Amino acid sequence: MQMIGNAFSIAVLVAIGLAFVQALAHKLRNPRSFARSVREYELLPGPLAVPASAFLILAEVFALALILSAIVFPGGALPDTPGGWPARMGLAAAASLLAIYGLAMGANLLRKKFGLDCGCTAGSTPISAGLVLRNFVLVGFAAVALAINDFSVAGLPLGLPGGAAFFLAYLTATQLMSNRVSGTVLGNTR
Amino acid sequence: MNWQMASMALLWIVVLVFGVLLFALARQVGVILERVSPVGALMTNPSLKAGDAAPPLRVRALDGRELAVGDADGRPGRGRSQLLLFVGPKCPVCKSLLPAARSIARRESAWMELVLASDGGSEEAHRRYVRQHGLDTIPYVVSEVLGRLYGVAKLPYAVLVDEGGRIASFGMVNSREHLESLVEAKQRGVTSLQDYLADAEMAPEAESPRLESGPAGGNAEGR
Repeated sequence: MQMIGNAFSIAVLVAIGLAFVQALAHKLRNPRSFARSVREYELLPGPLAVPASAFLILAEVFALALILSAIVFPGGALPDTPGGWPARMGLAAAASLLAIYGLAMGANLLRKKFGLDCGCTAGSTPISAGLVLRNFVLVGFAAVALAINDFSVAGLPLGLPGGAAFFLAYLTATQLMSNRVSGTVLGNTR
Repeated sequence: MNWQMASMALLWIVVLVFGVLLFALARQVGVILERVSPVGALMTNPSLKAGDAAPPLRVRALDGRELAVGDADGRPGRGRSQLLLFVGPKCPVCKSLLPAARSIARRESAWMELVLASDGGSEEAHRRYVRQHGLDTIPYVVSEVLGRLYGVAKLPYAVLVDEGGRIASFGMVNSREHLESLVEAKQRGVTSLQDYLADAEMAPEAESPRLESGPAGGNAEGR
């Protein structure tokens, strides 16, 4: 049982790490469009959009760096620290960001701004309840992993492929959500 | 133990390969949905009918120009058609449509004039929108009456008024193809590409002569 918990924690770490690599890739490639998305969410005063988007990108880089260091050096980036603090801190930071994005999307759904681009994919995916759910499922997994709190190296052989499979499921779910939107447009016309 | 390990590894490889395949499949579905999405603008409007006289209205553009929409100045046939494109600063799809609208307006400027119409919000927001998207040369009208008169419920929406002050075609436009379809429909003498496709399906052998027949005639028969 203990081993499963360990492998699960590593798998969550790997999956969220991969999700952040993907999310950061398009934000770093096109920071302006991300700043525009932040402005379109209309949750912050207009002039704050650019600094806020820069802060979010930096926070994502920070979380990802901690997660990567935890995977590459399992048990802690620094040899003399108690095992797993980069993993814990990275996961906590990543989960907070996911929760912030989820809440921001939820707020705009409540305002009925359904056409709003989520700003979370390279293409355009309108915000939806599914995306909010997706984020909070990830937050939940991160919370469970943090509660188990066992990021020791023994879990790696099972955690790595498990995390990769989890990430693929995440990618597929996101893709299906953006498909459903184009599908509705089609359904309305024929 | 070794045998078990090998079988585990193999299973993981299979799971991951299937994961990749499933994602690829989902992506392909997305691409297909995008490709087969309707090529013509959607016709959803209770208050407009193609061929009717366009509701006339005098409006003032943001830059101070006076515009007559429809047959407002009592002289049908001003010489040019009008493409009314209803947009708004808060509509993300509209933004992506503006470059297409500009290029179509430039290309077809000999017979068609582009008018952007919007409503709501502060005038300053509209002026900023015009500045941001380089729309200074295109008349931009802020009028709630205009939108209501033309039954615009969703943005972006376009109405093509022909040179005689009659509605040539209209519909919701979400992409360059939709916008092009309005212009194309006018040039082909049908009200929408859906009509064109329906006509072509119903009378495949009479397809080409029908296309060349007069705009109003062909339609009156069909409907």
